[in-house]
Amino acid sequence: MSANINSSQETANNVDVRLPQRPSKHRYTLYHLSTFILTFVSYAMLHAARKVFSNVKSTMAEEWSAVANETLNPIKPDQIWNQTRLFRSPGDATIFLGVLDAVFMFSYSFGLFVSGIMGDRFDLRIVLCLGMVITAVVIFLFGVVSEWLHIYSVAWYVCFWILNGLAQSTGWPCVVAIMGNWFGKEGRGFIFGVWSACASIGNIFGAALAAAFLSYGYEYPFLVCAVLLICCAAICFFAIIPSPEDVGAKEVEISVEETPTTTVDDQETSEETELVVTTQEPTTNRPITFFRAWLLPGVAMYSLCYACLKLVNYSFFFWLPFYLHSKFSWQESDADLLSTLYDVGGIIGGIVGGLLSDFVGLRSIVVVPALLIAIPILFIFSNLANNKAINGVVMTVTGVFIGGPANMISAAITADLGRQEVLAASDQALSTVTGIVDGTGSFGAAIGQVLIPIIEKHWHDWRFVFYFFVLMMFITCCCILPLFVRECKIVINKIKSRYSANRQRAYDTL
Amino acid sequence: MIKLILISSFFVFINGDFETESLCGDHNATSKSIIDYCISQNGSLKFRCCFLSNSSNILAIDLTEMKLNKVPDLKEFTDLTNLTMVDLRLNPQLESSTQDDFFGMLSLDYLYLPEQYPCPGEKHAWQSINQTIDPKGILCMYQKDVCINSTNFCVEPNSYCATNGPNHFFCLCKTGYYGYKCLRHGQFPMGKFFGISITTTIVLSIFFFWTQRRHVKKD
Repeated sequence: MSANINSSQETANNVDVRLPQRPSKHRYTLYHLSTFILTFVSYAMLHAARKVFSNVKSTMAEEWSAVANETLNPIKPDQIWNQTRLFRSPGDATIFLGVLDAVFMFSYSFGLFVSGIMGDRFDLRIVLCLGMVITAVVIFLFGVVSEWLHIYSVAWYVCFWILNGLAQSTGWPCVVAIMGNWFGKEGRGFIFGVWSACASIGNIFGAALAAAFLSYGYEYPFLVCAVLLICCAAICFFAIIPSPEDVGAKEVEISVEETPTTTVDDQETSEETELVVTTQEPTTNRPITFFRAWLLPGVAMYSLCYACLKLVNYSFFFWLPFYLHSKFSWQESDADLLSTLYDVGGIIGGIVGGLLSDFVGLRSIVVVPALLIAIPILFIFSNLANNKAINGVVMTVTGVFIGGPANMISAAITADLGRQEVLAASDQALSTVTGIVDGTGSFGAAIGQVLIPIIEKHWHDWRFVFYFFVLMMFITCCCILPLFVRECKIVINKIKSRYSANRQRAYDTL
Repeated sequence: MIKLILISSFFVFINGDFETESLCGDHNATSKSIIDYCISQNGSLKFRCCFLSNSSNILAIDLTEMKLNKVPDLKEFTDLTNLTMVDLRLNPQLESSTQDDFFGMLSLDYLYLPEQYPCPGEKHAWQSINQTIDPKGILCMYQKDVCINSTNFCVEPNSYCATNGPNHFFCLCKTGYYGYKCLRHGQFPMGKFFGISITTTIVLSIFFFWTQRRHVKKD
């Protein structure tokens, strides 16, 4: 019987499929490579769409409004300079664009919960592709159609930006779930560390798109982005394999426990055995409920922790160029360039942290010290002098210790949480858990987006914003402190036992 | 000509301040300056207007003694590019409105104004400003290009200053730039972009399908 089950897991004439069944730990196939690339590119494209919007913003504000009023010499002719399409001045338009950002973050965070649940119940590939296609259509309507048909309406923009948040939210839970399905716990930290660079790469790509096509008119970066998203969705539709089981390969984690049996390639019986299998296995797709996912060990703690951490992380992304520009009055392009160093630091931190956590076998034990180190760095950062080199270095370091843990939590740790031992092998929890962690995180980030301008306005001092960041980092640490303590005990026990074993061995040899 | 009269009567109808029957009106020109100028340019005088020989372009116009309280908006019904001389004297109620007056009168080089009305733009816009005695008023002579004297008129990117009548200017898009606020430059290569992206998508989809999803088992 066991031979039957095993033979059903693979097709007779496919060599690739057989490979993952070997008990070796790091058996990576072409499927792994293509999954890595496809999910990476998909999420990078989605992120590029966001970056395009933020880089096109100032041009949009110009297109929506008349030239800032000069009473002495009004610029003529009116049809070139003074159409009040949506706002009187670019300043008013900028406020509206800030509102759009906040609206997007809230709808995105809400959408993540929903998409997470959907990802576990429907084919991950379909959900991801559909999400990308809808995002593309929404971006097209938001940026291109509105300009071509001259539909300048607040309601139009707000509606489609809410829809955009919901559609984009399908991306992260799906790609993390697909990656989590293919890459087992061993080496996950490192691989996910490299992989989570996709957001930053997407940002760079989006910025490049905006720079390349903005001169044709602001609608063209949106058009290019929408078309590329649809192309990407089409390729993913024909390429992504959501889980190793779909090609008959077993998941890496389980395959280790499974004893390899000789492959019986009987094509005649394969159909029959498939039937046997479908009745025998409980069901391959048994999603856990949203509330059970919250109760899984670690999920609630990491969600809260990530809410505070993502608040700080996103605030850095969005406000750093502005902060540098206003504090040191650097040129905006310089400030933008320097603030990408924070991104770079985040990637480095994610990879190194992932490697370390792979080495230890535990993750919180790496995350908590990093977060604690971040607190004094934040203090240093808030009191820096006007020097680009020093600021660049400190920014990178801040990226390593804030962006790094954030990347780890959003990718590798979430994947761990969604595929932990408490769950039965057949339970589908990964997408839901990812949705919960990232959804809570994005909610925190959305609140941060609203709070930071308020704090800054109230005290007229950026230092208070940094104190707020420090407080958030402290709460972040507190949220996962129980996990940290537990993991510390495990490590200490391990060291103790190894030490005593060594001593035992030493006695034995004596 | 009939067209002009028709349009001018319409203009009179909608503009209450301009109380004569039409622009050129029904009495003959009385301003000596206008008549002399018209003769010197071989123009044909029709009531108050002096037309460039055998065309509908007005060369000079006499608007004296019309009880005007604002400068009539001439641009709505005639081509003003050739208008060289305007006489507005003997209109004691005439008030200046710097925003609209003489807008678009690019060749206006002799502007007679009543005493209370200063030359628009004063020395910035005119080469010489003289008093006239009979009838009393001001003569603003020879327009200056306002764009040459002031560099801070068109500060918006990709635009340049183009003069548009006395003390008026346009900010137009530099060559190659177009669209609202001159923000656009060049034409998006639609065909090339769609061609490349569609072919790449098809090739990659086939490649990945062949190597990947072909092997997916359907249950």
